[in-house]
Amino acid sequence: MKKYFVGFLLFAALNSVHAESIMRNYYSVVSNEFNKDVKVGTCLLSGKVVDMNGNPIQAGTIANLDRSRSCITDAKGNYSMVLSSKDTAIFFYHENYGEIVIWKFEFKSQHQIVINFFSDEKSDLPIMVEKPVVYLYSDTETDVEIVLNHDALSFTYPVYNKGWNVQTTSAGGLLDKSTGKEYPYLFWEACLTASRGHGKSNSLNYKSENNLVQGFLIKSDSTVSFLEHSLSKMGLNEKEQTDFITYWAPRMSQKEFAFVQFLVDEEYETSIAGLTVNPKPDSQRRIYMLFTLLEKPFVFFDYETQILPSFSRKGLTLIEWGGSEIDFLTDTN
Amino acid sequence: MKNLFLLSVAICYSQLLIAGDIPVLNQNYIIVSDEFSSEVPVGKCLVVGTIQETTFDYMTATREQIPLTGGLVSTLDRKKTATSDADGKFKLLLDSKDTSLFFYKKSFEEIVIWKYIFKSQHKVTINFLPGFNSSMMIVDKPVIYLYSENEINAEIKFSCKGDLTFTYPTYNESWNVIVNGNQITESGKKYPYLFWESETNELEYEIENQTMNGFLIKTDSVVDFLENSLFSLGLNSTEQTDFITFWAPRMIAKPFALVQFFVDDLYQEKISEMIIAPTPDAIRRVFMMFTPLESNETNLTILPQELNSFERKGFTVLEWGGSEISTINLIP
Repeated sequence: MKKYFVGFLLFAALNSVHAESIMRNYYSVVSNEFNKDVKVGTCLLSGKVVDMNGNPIQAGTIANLDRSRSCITDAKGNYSMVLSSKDTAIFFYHENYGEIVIWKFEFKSQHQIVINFFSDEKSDLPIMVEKPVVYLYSDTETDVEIVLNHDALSFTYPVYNKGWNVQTTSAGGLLDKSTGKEYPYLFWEACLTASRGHGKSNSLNYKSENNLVQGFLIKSDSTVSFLEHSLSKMGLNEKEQTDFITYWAPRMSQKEFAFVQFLVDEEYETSIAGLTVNPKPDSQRRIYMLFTLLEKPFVFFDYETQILPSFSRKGLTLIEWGGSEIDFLTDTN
Repeated sequence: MKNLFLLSVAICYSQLLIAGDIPVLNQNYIIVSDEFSSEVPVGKCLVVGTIQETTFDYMTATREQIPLTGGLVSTLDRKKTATSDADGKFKLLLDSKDTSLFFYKKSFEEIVIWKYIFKSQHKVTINFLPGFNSSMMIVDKPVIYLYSENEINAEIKFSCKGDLTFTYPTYNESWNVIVNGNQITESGKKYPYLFWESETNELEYEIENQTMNGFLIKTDSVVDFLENSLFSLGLNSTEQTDFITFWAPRMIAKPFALVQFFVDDLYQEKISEMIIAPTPDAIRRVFMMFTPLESNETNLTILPQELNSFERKGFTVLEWGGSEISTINLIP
């Protein structure tokens, strides 16, 4: 059962992100023995999950693929659960650590199996914050200063120099004071490098509450209608929607499924970049899309449909959108 | 030994540089050794090594390097070439004057070693670790803007090389739109432009007798270069911004880039044939071919490409797109 991993490896190399984690996230089957005390048709699975320093990983999930059977690791990283002998795969998931999937394992009836997982923190993985564009609209020509609270900008247009100083134009564009030229929007791109705090990760990941992620699992062939519907619900106009869709939809259609979560307004502010705008806009909408391409309609976490907030424009209006692709460390093939 | 190898791979990958915060793929080869050998003739340098691809065993969660057969290792001028055998091994006798070496195999990424000093009477062991790569090129983001002072109905048909991968709004044998000012309306919805994307393996630079009309630029000045070029070609500020914010972040991935524009007739011939009814009063189509490069060394003679503007009048159509061309297509 050898599977080529080359594509994934190339991907890892290209992103210069996951390379170390590939080396470091693994599992080991410690024992796999018949035990008459285990009920017929079931299999007793237990073990321990530790990080690369041997410290236990607490509150990680071990589950079968449909998550009908799952358990959470305790303070010592230990877990124990009963699987059906029909189960064929299990995974380890923790929002701050690398995912591990064991595919096609035979969980034999009346067997007791010990599997230990070794996983590394995700926290030092740089992720590209892609193409945030900022639109500004005002009925009257207004001078606006915009300062981004982000110190790892990789590309800006027009050039960002401690801030952008622009004037809104009646046509919906922006006159940049330093170049004297007009632009349809402001553009920035950055590398989000998270600081490495032990057991606490700042890396970009899906936001969850009580272990429940709000988002959407979509079929890629419906990406366009999904985005049109979602973006229009959140108040983007047709021009902004087109810019968004033509940038992201081609990439989202590369696998059969995708998981999507939007970080809106405050979540954008805290997770991606703070924005100081002077004068303060009368209305502001910032939308950041996190997505993962999937071969199968399967994610490692529990989720429910995200409720998207609506928006109405008035006076000086700021609109911003951007996004990042979040990759699970393990291919869900 | 295997562990040692994995370790060196780890080191290799950990060297992926983050220059100016842009992740750059750096080392996919390892110089294992470079030693004097009296068996190598004076003025020559013997290069040996192994080409390996990486596989992953899900069951044991272990990685394995397996030999890659039929990979081409060659100098840039292709005067000295070798092909890897069943064990992935190759052997190549270079002149000590040679400075570069590349690996190529279809469906794998190409690896170019630039500016290496192949010393006389030395034996160099180089292992190549190519990742998997599709040889398909993407005709990225052609967008079509339509302008008309008076409201008109227009039908746009095009046929491109390769397969269409995405269109917006949906292209169904044609786009039928209403143009008013800079607004495009299709099926009651407004769009700022029409969008299509395709995949092809037929794209090549226009090169004759090792001479190319184009530009070899330092990418730290890419924004100035694009602003000047696009302005010369007659793009307005919105079109320029859309173009630059799409391409410039990709072009700064390496210190240099080779650039050639296909304008109007060449666009029609090489990228996509477009038929518009009614016939536009003015049309400008700009396609940018580019290749990010580590070095500005090239066998090509590059003459500055002449870029001319066009005059907007009446029903005006402007289209731009581009494609990143892999390094291997530059090697004669």
